[in-house]
Amino acid sequence: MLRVHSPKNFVGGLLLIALALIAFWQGQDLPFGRAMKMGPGYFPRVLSVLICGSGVILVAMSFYVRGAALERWSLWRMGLVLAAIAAFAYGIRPLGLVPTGALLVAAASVAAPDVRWRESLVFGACLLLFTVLLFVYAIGLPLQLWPAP
Amino acid sequence: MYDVLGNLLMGFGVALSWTNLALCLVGALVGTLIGVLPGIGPIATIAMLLPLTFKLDATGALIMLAGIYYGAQYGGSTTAILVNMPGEVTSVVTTLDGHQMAKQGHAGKALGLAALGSFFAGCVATLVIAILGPVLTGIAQKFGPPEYCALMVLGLVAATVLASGSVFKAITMIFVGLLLGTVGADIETGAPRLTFGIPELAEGINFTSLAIGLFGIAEIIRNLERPEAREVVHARITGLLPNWADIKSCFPAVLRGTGLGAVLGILPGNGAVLAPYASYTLEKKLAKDPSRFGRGAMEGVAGPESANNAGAQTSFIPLLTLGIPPNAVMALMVGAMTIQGIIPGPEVMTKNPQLFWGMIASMLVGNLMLVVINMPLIGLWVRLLKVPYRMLFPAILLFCCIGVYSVSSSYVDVLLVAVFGVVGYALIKLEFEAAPLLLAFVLGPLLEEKLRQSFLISRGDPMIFVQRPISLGLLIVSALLLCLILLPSVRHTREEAFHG
Repeated sequence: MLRVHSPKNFVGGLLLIALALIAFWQGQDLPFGRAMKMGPGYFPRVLSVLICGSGVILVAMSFYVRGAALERWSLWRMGLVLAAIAAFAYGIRPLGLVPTGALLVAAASVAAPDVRWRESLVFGACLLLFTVLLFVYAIGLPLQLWPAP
Repeated sequence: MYDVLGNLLMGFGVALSWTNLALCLVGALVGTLIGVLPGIGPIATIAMLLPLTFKLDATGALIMLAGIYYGAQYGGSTTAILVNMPGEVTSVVTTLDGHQMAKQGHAGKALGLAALGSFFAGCVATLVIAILGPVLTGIAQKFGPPEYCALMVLGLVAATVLASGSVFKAITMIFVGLLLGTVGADIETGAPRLTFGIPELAEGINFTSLAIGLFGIAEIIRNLERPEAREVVHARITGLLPNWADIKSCFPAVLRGTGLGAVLGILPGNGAVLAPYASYTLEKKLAKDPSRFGRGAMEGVAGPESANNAGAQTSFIPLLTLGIPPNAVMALMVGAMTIQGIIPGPEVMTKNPQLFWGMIASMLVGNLMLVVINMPLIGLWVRLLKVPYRMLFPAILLFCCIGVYSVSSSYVDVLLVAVFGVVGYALIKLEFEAAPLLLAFVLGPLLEEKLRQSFLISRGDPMIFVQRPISLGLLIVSALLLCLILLPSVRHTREEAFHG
């Protein structure tokens, strides 16, 4: 019976293979060309083959070489941090810097293991004031502050 | 020699203008400020602070960025000494004896030695850049596409050898980085490649998104899952200036560290990473009583810190003369230069001497400023170290988002930060190194271009790479490096260096 001895490499290898397949699928319409006159598809396709090969080797080796066990992922905190970034990405144009920034700080504060709400509120307000003064007034980045009318 | 002096004088003319002095000061200050924060290395610091430079002219922007860079380096060693938390690989060594010194009540002396050693190393390294820069630029101008390819291969191979962890995994990261570099319009035909039909990706993956995601966001998520444990040294920090006896006993270590660092920093691949380890090992070997090391030996702080700074400084050489960044931080500098419309390479010095020499002179100025500012400001940095992470990271996150968004006002760039944040987190969890990926991403487009040109010259004959002596030599060195790492004894030493 084959057993996975290094789960990290096993998972890593599978992810590499998946990446290679996606890249291969995305680049399948690009002309490959020849070595003398390489087409746009040459480099990506060679690389996806190399990545796929490395992935296969990693997976194969993981059955034989002992390695560390997988670690727990803190999906909840990761999700919150990502949500904070996504809120900024989608909010900055329609809402402006102040509401978007508040949203980001709120989402991020929930992710902290030891959040204290009153402190976060005061700190968030100061942070936003500082950000507006620094980036918009001092450096002059063209950011809109409030929702467009 | 006369030329060097004349050029340096011209550089000082540029660097000592009031605006540039102010930019250098602000860069060094802000760099230290962010670099001091635990868990943020120079890569994340520079990536985060990039937008500060957008409105400046090219010379000013580079002077400020260089200031941010050594500020971040310096801040990293402060954290290493006071909190025992290295911001990056190169300050791991400093924690060994530096934190011990701090625990014994000599925090001030450790910080002072680190600062003065770094200052000395920085000055020497700057002179090395000034002398070697023109020579290497001359050589670089003789380079054709095959030589560039070979050099980049050498750089990438060296980056895998010097990455901590598995070499094989580092090589896969190089492949992934190269693949990500191909995203966007093809250089010759303009055909969109691997863009998933997203128009914003036509110009390629935004470099700042990649760097901030991989190094900033991933780091934040990882820090959040661990309970905070910082042992900040609480005693008042006094006696920053080392006395004459300390200086006398440390100066040889500083001198050796500077030499080691300067040489290792020039090497392609991340040579500078090795410098502090090499210096520490050397000092331990040379010491009359090696058992002092690890228990607060002054040479164990002064030597590696000098080596670190010298290496950090001379790693500018491959970037400025050949246009090839030797490590991830320099890859960020390429990104910053490209945003300013400067293509790094031999032309920078010939076509833009004001910028080249101004930047070099500003390194000297910046190093001096760091010593002068940081000695009195130590108290402030210590207080900053006590700010809890739950307050720090929302601020970092906000600055990262604003920074990335301001590059080209594109919300897709910000979303990419989240995507690469997940990627970076996965890489940490699965024990892959992100630094080779970033380096390969930056070198990728150039490598592809030069490869295509080479094959066009040789009509598809790969022999072109071995028929030219320089390119053959570089490829042989790369092959030797790869073989070397497979030897069991070398592999063992390497593992010891990174985990010992």
